Amino acid sequence: MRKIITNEKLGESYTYIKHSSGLSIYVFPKEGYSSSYAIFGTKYGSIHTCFKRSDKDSFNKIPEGTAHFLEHKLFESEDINADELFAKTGAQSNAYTTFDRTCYLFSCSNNFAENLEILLNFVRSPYFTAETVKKEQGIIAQEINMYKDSPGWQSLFNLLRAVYKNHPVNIDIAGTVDSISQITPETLYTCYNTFYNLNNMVLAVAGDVDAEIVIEKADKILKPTDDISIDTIFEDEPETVVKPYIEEKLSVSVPVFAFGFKEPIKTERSTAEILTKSIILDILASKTSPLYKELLDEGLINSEFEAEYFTGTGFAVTLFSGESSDPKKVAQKIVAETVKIKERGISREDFERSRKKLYGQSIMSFNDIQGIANELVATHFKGDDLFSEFNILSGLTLEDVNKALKNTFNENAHSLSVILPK
Amino acid sequence: MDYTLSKVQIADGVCAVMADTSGFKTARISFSFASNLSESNSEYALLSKLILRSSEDFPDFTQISRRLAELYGATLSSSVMKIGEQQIIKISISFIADRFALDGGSVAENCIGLLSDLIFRPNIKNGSFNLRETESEKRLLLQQIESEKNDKSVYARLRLEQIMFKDELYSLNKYGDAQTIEKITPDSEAQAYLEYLKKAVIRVNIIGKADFDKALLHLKERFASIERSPEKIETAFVLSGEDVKYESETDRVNQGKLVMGFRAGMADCDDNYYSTRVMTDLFGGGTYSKLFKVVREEMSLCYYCSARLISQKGIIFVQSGIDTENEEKAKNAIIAQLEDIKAGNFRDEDLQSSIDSLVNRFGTISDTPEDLDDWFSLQIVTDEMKKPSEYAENIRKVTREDVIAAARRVTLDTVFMLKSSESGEEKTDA
Repeated sequence: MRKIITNEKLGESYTYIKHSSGLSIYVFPKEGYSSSYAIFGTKYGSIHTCFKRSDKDSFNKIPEGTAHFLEHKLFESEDINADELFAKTGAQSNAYTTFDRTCYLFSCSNNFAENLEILLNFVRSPYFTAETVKKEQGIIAQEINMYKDSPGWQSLFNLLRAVYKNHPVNIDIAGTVDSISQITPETLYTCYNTFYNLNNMVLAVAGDVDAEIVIEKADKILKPTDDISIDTIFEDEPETVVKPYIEEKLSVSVPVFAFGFKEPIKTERSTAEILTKSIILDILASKTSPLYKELLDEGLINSEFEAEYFTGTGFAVTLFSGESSDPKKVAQKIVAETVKIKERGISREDFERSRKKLYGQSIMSFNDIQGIANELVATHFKGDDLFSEFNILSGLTLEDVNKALKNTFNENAHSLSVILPK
Repeated sequence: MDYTLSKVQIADGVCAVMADTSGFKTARISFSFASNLSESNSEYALLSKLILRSSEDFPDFTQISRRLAELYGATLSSSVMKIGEQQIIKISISFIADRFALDGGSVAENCIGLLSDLIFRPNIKNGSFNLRETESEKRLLLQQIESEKNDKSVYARLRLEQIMFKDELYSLNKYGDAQTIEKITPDSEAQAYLEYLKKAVIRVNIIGKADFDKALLHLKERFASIERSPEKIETAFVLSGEDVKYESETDRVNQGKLVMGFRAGMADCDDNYYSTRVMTDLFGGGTYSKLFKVVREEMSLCYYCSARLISQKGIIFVQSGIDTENEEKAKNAIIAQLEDIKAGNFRDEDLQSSIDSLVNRFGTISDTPEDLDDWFSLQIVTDEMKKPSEYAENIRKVTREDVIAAARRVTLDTVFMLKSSESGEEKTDA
């Protein structure tokens, strides 16, 4: 099946292909570009720690950090090493694991077809032995240690631990030195055979690319996989937070903080809802806001301060982060401002300005082939299409935003995470 | 992306570089200012922040931010860099192409106007910046210097720079130093501003689509009233290290940080540039490099171990995050890899991978306005205008012999190790 999706206003279009192997493929050509970018991803991330296949009876519970570990190990096969193959073509290759997906990618200005073949091949060739698993434990332990010294990362994950009691967003993506020591080749095969089913995966390419070449390579390399579905089990999550305050001491010179309100619990959020919340946060706390000016004038924040809507499968937090000599006072002021904005509502002037800004940012995002390909993957896993954000934006009303504001910033569900100097 | 490149002299030491293309959805304009590293770094770094804080036309940054939002979320940013022995201040604005404007106005023209108003019409009254804003930005700059220490790999590199370049200008921090910043007053800062517009070497980049003639005319008018006396941009090159200097510190961190500073044997930034660039990449660039293959993959000592050439100063830094007890092992392994290249012990296919990878990276630069802008900004110190494709062609010509010769010119100068005092301990909190 093949479908072309076009947006006249943006002057862009892309092709969606449901390949006979079960894989969803997106091809987004960009005229005039000399480089290309490809990403091959599975809907499998650090939060998928307990799951069941539709063709099996039992549940699997796996160690924290397995998705990330698998990402590292997939580059190596019995006879081929993906790094070496990409080195021969000159492509830049990489991979990353988030809460809810694992992605393998390359960018190149030459040899696109050859690189795509390497990408499809190595992701489809798992090879795990006791020896190679053991070797990787040393490298990943160093990666975990590196993040332990990163104040921004630690303050975010401490916040998530303070906000979420049961949802696995509260565990580190790479796991712990202890949890990864429990990983065996069998664990990796179980996860691979479940989540790397092509029906659970997506391929997105953008830039100097052509749909025919992509289909030709997919036909050559990909064999059909059974269309199984996967149930991920999440324990019930309370609407309240675990604790309102958490701190840790690291070798920092300026305290680092993350502050967030827990959003109502639901599995997926629509693009419209995420956009609406982004507008609310923009009006409340971006550089155009009175709050930002007040915090800066009082010397409570620096230019690191930012607000974002932090969300994924089963979790969402209105997140404020930055550096401050007095994080508690920053949090108090944010809470006070949320009470005020909820009382008086958002003005038309603020709404229109923020919408204009988001309109421009949405257009800007279509410049960058890397951003386009990554966003194609993210929107696919959400069951949406790439242009929907741009389309929804023009239909959004002030009334929608003010209605959503009422259910945002729950005064009884927020936490502050602080990293203090040792 | 194809683009037509041109360069126009605006005033003494001021040029405009234009990359004309309709291929992007955005356009970008930047001002880069270069001056030799000196005690004035502090004042100039402060300027980079102060001129975005307010201006004659905009009483505070809230008004500036609202104007940017109305210009469809145009983004304004400033950065401070150290390139060779120069401090570079860069102020840039990115915005959507005019064809997407909903009200028919020219976003490009408005953005050029806004950026130039901020730079040329600062909030100076009676020969003085605003006191409250000056104090606020001083505090932020001091905090920025402090927070560099939060990132331990940056901290370790800065410490290495202080030791290795003790008697060279390169030891200076790009943001200046706390003592000098403390002493800045609204008056002295206004003086520094006037002096800076006269003496800095300036490059204006315009990437994308705009009314270039109108923009150039506008720039010429702005500079017509400034008495320019641009300084000569210079960097001292030291060919080789003598006795290896070593220092270490202990901190309560989880992971130790090893930094090694080498002299690349370059007499200036063009001296054997291409062969040294390929050699450094083969040594510690991609997954085909010696450091990745041996120190990470074979020895499992680290997650990252990489080498970076700073051609504008003729130096190479190797950085790695390791367990403190592995310091000697890692150091010896890193040196052994360099010795291997000197002895010609590397595979032709790895050399080819390195060349292909560099060529590939040069090939992707022209596909984003930001990368193109950065590319031409950095050439301010050499007053060049070379396309990435020209570099790629020269990289292709580098031979095995060139790489061996380049490696043989490299000498170790300084080693710095940030040791962990709690190595091996697992934290139990949180």
